[in-house]
Amino acid sequence: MKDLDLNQPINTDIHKNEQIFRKVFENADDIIYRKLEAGKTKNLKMLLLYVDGMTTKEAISEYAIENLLMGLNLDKAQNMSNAQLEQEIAKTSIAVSEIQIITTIGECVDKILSGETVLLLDTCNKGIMLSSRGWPMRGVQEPSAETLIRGARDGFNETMKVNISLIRRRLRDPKLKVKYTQVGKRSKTDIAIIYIEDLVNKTVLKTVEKRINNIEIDAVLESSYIEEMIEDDGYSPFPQLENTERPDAAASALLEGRVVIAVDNTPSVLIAPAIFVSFMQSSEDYYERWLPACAIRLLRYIALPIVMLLPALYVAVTQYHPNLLPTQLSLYVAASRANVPFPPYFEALLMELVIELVREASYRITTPVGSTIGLVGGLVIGQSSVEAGLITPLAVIVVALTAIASFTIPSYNFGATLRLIRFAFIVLAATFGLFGISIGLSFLTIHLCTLKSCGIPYMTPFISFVENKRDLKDTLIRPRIRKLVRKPDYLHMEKEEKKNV
Amino acid sequence: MFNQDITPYQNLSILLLVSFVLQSMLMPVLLTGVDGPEGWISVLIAALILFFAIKAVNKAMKTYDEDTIISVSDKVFPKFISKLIGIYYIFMFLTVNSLIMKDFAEQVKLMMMFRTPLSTVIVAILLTAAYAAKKGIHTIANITNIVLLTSLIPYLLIIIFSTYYADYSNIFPVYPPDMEGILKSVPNAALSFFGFSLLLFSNSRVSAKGKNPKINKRYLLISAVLYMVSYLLIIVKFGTKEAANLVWPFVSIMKFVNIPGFFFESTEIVGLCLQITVIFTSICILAFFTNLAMQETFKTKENGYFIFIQIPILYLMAAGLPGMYMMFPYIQIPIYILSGMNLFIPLLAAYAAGRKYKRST
Repeated sequence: MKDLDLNQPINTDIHKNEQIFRKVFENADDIIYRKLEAGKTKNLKMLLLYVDGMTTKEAISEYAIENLLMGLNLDKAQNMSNAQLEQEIAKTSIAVSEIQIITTIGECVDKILSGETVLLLDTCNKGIMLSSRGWPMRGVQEPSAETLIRGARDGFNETMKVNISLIRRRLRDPKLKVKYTQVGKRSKTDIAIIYIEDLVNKTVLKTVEKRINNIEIDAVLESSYIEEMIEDDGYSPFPQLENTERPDAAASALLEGRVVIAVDNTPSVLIAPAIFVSFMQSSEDYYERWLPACAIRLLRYIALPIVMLLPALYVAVTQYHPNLLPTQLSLYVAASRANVPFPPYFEALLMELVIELVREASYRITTPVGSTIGLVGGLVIGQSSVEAGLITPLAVIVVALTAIASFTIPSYNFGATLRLIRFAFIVLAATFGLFGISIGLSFLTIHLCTLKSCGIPYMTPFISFVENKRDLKDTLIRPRIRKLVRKPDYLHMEKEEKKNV
Repeated sequence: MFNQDITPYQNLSILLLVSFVLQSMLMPVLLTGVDGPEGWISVLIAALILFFAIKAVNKAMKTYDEDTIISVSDKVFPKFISKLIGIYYIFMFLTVNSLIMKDFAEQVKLMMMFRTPLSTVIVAILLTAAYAAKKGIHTIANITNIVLLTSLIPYLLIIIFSTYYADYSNIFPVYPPDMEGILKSVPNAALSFFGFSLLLFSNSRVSAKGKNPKINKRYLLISAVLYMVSYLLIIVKFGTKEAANLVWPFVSIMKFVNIPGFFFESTEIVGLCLQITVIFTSICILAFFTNLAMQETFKTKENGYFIFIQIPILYLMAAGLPGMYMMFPYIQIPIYILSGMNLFIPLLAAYAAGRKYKRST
């Protein structure tokens, strides 16, 4: 492979070409070399190259080759220019959706590995790419991680073009633009940058394009690779790009003026920029009636400090500030702690660790068994620990409440970050009590206020709430759809009005 | 969205927050300074004086809207005077910041962390503040706005809820007023509007500089109202005589909060938690502006790294200074000096800048 120059032009000698390709694809038994002889005297040799399993064979054998052999004057083809050859092929009413003339070995290799078929003609130094991509794919199913009660049931799958078509079905707008690029020296993964031309923030778009083009990596196996490579602060625990498997969520993001990045071979598309508020929103907020949706969103914001701080507050109050509690409760806590051998911070850390173990175990096991494991694990371990006198019932309540609250955060990534931060807060509470929690919150605020997503401050619109006061209305509550006619100010749209879907 | 300047309202938040912290720290001085419930008149007089000062400064500095007070001094005064002004501001910011830190650390120790050494609390605050100050004014402004929403407003609400069992007759009689006490307390009240000293630096970092005069006036108005209302709240809650003995009036007032359904027994700890974030943010702000003053005085571009020089200085000053309650008998003279200098320097610079502008045209 090292000696082969893939930029070399296609040879006029078909045997030589075959030798080159056999060398390029050495030990690759799934590459099919099909030789054909055509022309009036059967003296024109042809070679078809494709990957077994990545092409629709019917399209090639039944329609393309048959039409090509019957319609094309192959004897003349060898003396034609690229444009003439393309024109000539187009005339043959070949039943393939896309045809392209290619001139180098490298181009041929790329096309073959992408699932296209390459046709080489003897004595002709050009190849013909016949569109034939087709492989077994998963259907358009509802994404299991983003299920809704009301809303569309379709979800992205592993084929990027299907995913783009799902977005296009929702936005029949000629201004919806899709730019293709490839990332990965070895994987050559197709990536689509999708945006609405007159809505998108041009600076964000340029930033995204630049960062994607600067990626140097061998392979992109999931969109998370791209996410990590283009985010602003790689050391931050907070996700700086949103990901979704829902086409309606992607379409909504496009309408807001954001950029969607679709990556081939993964059902998760990325959305940039992502701000703190966007991780607290769910598509369903906009499908339910606004008043219940408002209440649900408010509930999520109430759950947020519970997820992050409740175990830490338990530690701080029981260990440092029992005087904060009403006398009766304080006495109850003291009595229940009397026989527990561990300090409150150890109790909290132990129970949190158990909960995380149960959670991780239930993710790894098939769904029906997983939920049973979660239920049994939680009940049995909690009950047994209390009975054994290892922990207090209050600690079980605190940890259970925290675990339940964590499921209300719509974004899995964001929820995972909050769960991680919770441990840091427990340690701070164990060291400095409420003062430690306050210092921790200050650190967190500083970090969040420094963080950006593709140049947009993460804490928008709270950081400049007077200037962006219009954006505040879709934060803690979900206003009526008719009140959402304006696009977010923080993205500086060119067009003022839009109907937010 | 992509520039590093602050917005006019972020500037307003910065000025309000720092002033509120200084006002709550110097409130006992005002409560003891005036014999009667008329301390709010001192605040009003101070606000009026500062209003005219701000007007004069903004008018004269129109041609220098990209400059801080130190860089303006550099242009209108001989070099050594501008250096002296720079050093004064560095010293003043450091002193005020260390005073806030000390006062705050003592509150935390007394209310929350009885067994923790004071120095540990100071170091924890200092290191966190250093992290923020190094990030620059944009981050500081963002933090201020978040803290304003999440801490200052709930903190003020808790204070308002404390007036449930207040005796409103305490605010009378206003006549005859203690004129001597009122006039003597004006410098203290003026120093409490610390935003006046900060705006001489922060205005130059605002993206829409045309709005600075309006924002500065708005700051003065809101801050004065906040100060007077806080003063009156304390007076109606405790009465003039009891209020004069309070070391931390805002913490004391929170002991008597009556919010329906609020089950915490020690509300002052909850309030203190909110106060920690508010005071901590003002420490970050002051640390940043000390950095800026150092940068302008020593003519360097490296701004963030000055925080590493500040950390030991602030620590030593905070650890070495006596607590606010111990300083009350001796604090009057330093307050007069600082208050006078804070008013005199910008007015002098404004006058010199105005003259220079006139001569050039």
